[in-house]
Amino acid sequence: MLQQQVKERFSDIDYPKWKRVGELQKSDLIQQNFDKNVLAIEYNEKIMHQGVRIHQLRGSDADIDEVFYIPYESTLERFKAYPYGTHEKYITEADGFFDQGAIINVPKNVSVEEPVFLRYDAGKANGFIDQNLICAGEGSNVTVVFDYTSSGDEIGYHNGLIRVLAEANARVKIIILQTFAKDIDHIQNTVSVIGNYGYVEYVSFDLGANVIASDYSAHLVGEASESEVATAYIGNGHQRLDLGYNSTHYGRYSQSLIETKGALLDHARKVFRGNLKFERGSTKSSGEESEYVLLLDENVRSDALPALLCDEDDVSGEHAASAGQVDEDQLFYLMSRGFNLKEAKKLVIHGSFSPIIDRLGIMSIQERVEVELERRLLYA
Amino acid sequence: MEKAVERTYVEDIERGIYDIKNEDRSKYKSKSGLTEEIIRDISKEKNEPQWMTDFRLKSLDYYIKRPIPTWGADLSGLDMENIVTYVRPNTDMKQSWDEVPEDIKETFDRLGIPKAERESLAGVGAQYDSEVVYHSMRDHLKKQGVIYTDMETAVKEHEDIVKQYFMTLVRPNDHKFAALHGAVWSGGSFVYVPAGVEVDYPLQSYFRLNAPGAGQFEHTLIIVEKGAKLHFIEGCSAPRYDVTNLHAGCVELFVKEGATLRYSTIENWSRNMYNLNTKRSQVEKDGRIEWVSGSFGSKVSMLYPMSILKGERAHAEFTGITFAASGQYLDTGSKVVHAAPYTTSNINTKSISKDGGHAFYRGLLIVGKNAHHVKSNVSCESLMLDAKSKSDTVPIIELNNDNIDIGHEAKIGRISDDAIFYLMSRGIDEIEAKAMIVRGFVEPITKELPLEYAVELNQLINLEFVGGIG
Repeated sequence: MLQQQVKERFSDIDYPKWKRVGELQKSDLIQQNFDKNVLAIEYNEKIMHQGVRIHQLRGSDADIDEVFYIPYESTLERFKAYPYGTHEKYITEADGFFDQGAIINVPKNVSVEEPVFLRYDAGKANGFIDQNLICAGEGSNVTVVFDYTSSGDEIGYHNGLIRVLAEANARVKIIILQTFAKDIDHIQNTVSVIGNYGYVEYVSFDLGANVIASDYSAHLVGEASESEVATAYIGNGHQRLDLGYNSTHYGRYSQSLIETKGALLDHARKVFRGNLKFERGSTKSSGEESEYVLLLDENVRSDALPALLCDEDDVSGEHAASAGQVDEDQLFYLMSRGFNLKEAKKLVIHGSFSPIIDRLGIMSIQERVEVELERRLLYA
Repeated sequence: MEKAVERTYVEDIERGIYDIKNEDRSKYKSKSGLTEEIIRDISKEKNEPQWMTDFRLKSLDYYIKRPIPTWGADLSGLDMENIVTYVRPNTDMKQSWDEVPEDIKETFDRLGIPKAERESLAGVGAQYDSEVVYHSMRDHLKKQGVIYTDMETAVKEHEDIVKQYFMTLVRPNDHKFAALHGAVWSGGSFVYVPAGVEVDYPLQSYFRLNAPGAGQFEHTLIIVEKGAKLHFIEGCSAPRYDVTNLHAGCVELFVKEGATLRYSTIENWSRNMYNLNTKRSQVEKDGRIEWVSGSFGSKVSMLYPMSILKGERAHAEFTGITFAASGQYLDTGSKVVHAAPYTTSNINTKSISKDGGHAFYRGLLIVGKNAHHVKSNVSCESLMLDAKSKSDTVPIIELNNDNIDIGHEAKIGRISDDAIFYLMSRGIDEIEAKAMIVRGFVEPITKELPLEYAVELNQLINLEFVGGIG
């Protein structure tokens, strides 16, 4: 069984040694508990009639194939050719030891109007591991929201894996809102494989947790495939963030965008790793990578490695990275309009996040994001 | 397969370490090829003071212990076992004009380089013409108090200054090739500009070519004292033919308070060369370093001129072009360390890859913890001229202070079809149109160079398109 092989592979590999982020908590900290009810799935019942299948995984599932409509293992095969993840150790951990998960299958030409919400709430427990797969059939359309929360105060650990397979002409939007309690170490790996004219968009907010190590990998396999990854984060206290983004172009006319906005306070430290890669043959493709971080306290540390790797001449690749303080002119202007310094600062900082917030399109999530931003930036 | 070869070299070196412990150094000869004896010989032949001999031996130690780097370019083509031949000035270095390959001879023709110069570039004869010019230059400079001499002479005649600065910026234990350089360095220029002196015309190391084979491990040491100004041009843009294929030179530039130094280089080594040069500058308060750098030649290049902005309001400028043609892997970039407040830097690099060439930009920008009010802008543009080439850009930015303003941008692309079409519609043929666009692409660099170099640079580009140089 696949899971058994994966578990063995997990024990064979060592944990990675990361220079900047250092050591993370390990999963043996949390109790693997298949009866733990961390996942609640919300969706409009109507979509079942459209043919959409949503299956809630519990780690104890003996034979996933039977339960579900797409052969699970063969779908995972589709991802094998493409590299992804912060490290193989964490991918195999999510595959072999997940507590809960969700598989969503949207059949051909089905358009799911309302978003599907995957509410992962650890409650007072100190963490969990989840594994998710979203298969969007040809011409289909779906939005899935991952809402990660916890309310405990113990040191904890979370490892989440999201795989998205977008067939030709499919449109998938994934929203991730992470507001874990402040002592949870959080690992997030996402990968999307996109077919001809497919489109996958990620909008993600990292507003909680302690150490964060994430990786968003988009493989633009099909012709005219498109990927947009827009993320925002706040680092404060002694947080360490290691944020990886990879767009790899294989198909002709493919387009990618990586857009990251962040703010660092207190003694937070972050590293942005962006890899925009054009494989030979991806003619007429274009890729864009941009990173902007606001440095709000003197002890923060920001590193960026925005790499641009190109094996094909008939493409256009761009990247930009910039870091700085809140623009004094902007502050001055707002203060001349009657805001005090603190309010003006908050407005400007909020303004820098708004391009990402604007992509959400779901009021309830947007409100939550605003509240969290406000709370985290309180002392900025 | 090539990786395995590299590992073998590392193992050899490790056995060398055990040899040191046994204090029986003769064992080296068979393994690393570079022995203490050889180093002592070199030092003796140069008639060096004891401290330099000791320095070389210490560097030899570091060299033996350090493994070859495994990142960046593939260095397996380097014949480290026979490094003795690189070093020995009188082994096989004699060449006659006849032995120079045809394509190099042709290039000299096309670039219009006169016969006397050709011979010297080919490492064959002395430069009679330049000897005369050199002497008159020397007198003029002497009056200003400027010291401009070759490195060997400087070690003896200006010992106190040299000892203070020599390999303090690029230390021998920095990396393997810095250690090698420290052990076997030979030739190069020493320039000392006293406080307040503005040297009115560029000094060129072209006039400092010495014995054949000396170009491999040149050491250039330049000190520009407070408020002084200098423009130094290294090398020339014609390909240099060498039997051996390793260039592990070193350039150390000390820019003092309020001083300005412009360092221009066009490197166009022959296409069998491994160019592993280390260039570093240190800039004091209100000082300014300007690098203008063109990398055209060599088979493999790993070159990252570095600026350490040590004093407040120090400034570094870097304008560079890298042109990787068929069979070349040019891994170049720029490193800037902002170690003081109010420092600024501006990096502008362009790279072109063609015919399967691989241009790799590798940069580093560090802002230290106490460096507030730092402003830096890095811009990298890459032009790929066909589908066979590769171009990569991997900048690393590490910021340890919040009160800064940093921007970085990079672009990769090809010559726009529209631009070529427009030029062709004006009667210009396709090849000339492409050459024109490429010349325009590199224009920010050519306009920083002295005229003869700009002309030669443009010629080089033209030749690339018309299939001139190898």
